[in-house]
Amino acid sequence: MLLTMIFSLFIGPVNIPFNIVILSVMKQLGFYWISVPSTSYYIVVVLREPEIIGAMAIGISLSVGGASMQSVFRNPITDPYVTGISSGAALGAVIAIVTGLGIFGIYSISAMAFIFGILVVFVVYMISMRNGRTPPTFLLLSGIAVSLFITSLVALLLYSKPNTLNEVFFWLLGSVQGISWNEDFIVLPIILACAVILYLMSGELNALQMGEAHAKSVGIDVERSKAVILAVTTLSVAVVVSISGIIGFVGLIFPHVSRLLYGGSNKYVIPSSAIFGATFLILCNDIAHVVVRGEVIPIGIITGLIGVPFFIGLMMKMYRGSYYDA
Amino acid sequence: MTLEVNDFCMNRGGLKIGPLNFRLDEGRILSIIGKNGSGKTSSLLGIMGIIEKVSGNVNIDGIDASSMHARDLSRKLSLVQQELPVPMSLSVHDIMDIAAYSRDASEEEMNDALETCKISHMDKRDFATLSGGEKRMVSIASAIYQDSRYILMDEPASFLDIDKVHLLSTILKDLKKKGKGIICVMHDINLAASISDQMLLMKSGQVVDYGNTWDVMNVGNMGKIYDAKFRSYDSPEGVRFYPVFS
Repeated sequence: MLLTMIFSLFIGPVNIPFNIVILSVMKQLGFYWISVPSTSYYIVVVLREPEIIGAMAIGISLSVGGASMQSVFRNPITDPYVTGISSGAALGAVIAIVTGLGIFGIYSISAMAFIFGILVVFVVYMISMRNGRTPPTFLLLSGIAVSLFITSLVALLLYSKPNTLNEVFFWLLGSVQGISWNEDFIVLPIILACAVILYLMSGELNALQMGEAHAKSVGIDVERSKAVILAVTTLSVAVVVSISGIIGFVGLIFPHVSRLLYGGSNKYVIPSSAIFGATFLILCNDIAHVVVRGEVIPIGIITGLIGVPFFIGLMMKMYRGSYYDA
Repeated sequence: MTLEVNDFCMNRGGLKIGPLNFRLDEGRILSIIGKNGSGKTSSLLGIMGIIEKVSGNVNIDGIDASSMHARDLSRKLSLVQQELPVPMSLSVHDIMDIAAYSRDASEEEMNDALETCKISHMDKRDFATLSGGEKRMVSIASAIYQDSRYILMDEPASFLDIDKVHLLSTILKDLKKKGKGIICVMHDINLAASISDQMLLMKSGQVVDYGNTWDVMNVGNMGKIYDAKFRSYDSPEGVRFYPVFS
């Protein structure tokens, strides 16, 4: 992952010589007397670096979120968006775009996406609550149902203001372009903290993966653990969605890659899928930069294009092997 | 040390279960027998607090189970389910790890539990690739490793070959000697009678009879709970029952 991050510093629409990139980073690290062209320094330090850090953070959050949701829902085809967070965030973003809302300044879209993402998960959680319990199947179904409902609302809003289609379209595709150090400083600590908490809860996640009856019998406070896991995952993913839009497939695939390589225990799945997801997104970001000369295409397109064939290949492997019980 | 079930009532898909009244001392085995759908498994899940009760209570060593924290409850009670549901790949070792969630257990204890169930060599195997009988032994090993005072087993003998059934009864006797209290839901009435100190006979959610094994195991009671005519004979291993279909 580190290698990818360093490698990625050299990738971008503007061709910056190898030595200038190195010198720029050295200057940033405290060798202030080094002189580099200010444009190159600006591109490397102010534009490229925060994007790479951002892509890394997003990759970690989505992969770890995917692993935890797959365990809680005991379902291999769930991703971190399954509880309605992505549709909620989309609704928030679209409201901000369509109404031209400006109460949060330049971060209005992000803030609205964040708030609505969390709000919708909360609504889904409350809908599936019965006698203090939230059975995973109900959570999953209400997540899907509410998502569909909200997607219709988003469509309705767009229909009423077709001139915003372009902006919304790009937001929905997902992108790490333009992520700044300011955003990284807020987002990275939250995401790392959430990932560490989920890692520390890998025992609970493993037990929940074996069903709530078994989890309870080995001593897990099922509802409490589930609520904490959902809250932490939601916070982490809402932060991601608010800065990058909806990037697909990362959260679905990398937990499975880890399971195939290192087995199903979340003790290994969480850290390894975090590294895979981060590396993958950094690489996708590089590809997004170079695939069309002089232009950066949304990363969500790349993850989908690479992710889908990869996922199908993986399914073939699962089908042949013993990954899933027949 | 006693597990007491007092006037315990539940409702499961329209079937009224209970009132259940029984007590299990440590170092004893109680078997629950009855037809399919008579409420045996539900009773176990109710005692575990997984299915909600309607009334009554479960008292474990003098403490009401519903007031206990999940972690403390798991030191008292463990559950061997009919089938261990593992939807995504977990190894036998991972599953054993989960069993020790609420206590500090050594690797040695894990190996002992695996050895007791003769599955040490499967430690690294993916659970999904095991046979039905092997899966069964893993779930029993997991309960042994959890080391709770009382163990509830749902059909522990299902899927097992004859030699494994023998192994199971050895394991149960061993656990009994170690002071564990065990409740088994059983299909095989003769096996149940041969391993149990007490029996609980159920039909349509109701208790037909409860008491020491040889006080309640008789042709009349068997006929009552299974709606069939039974005969018994003396074998070198004790009295055996068999149904007569004519």
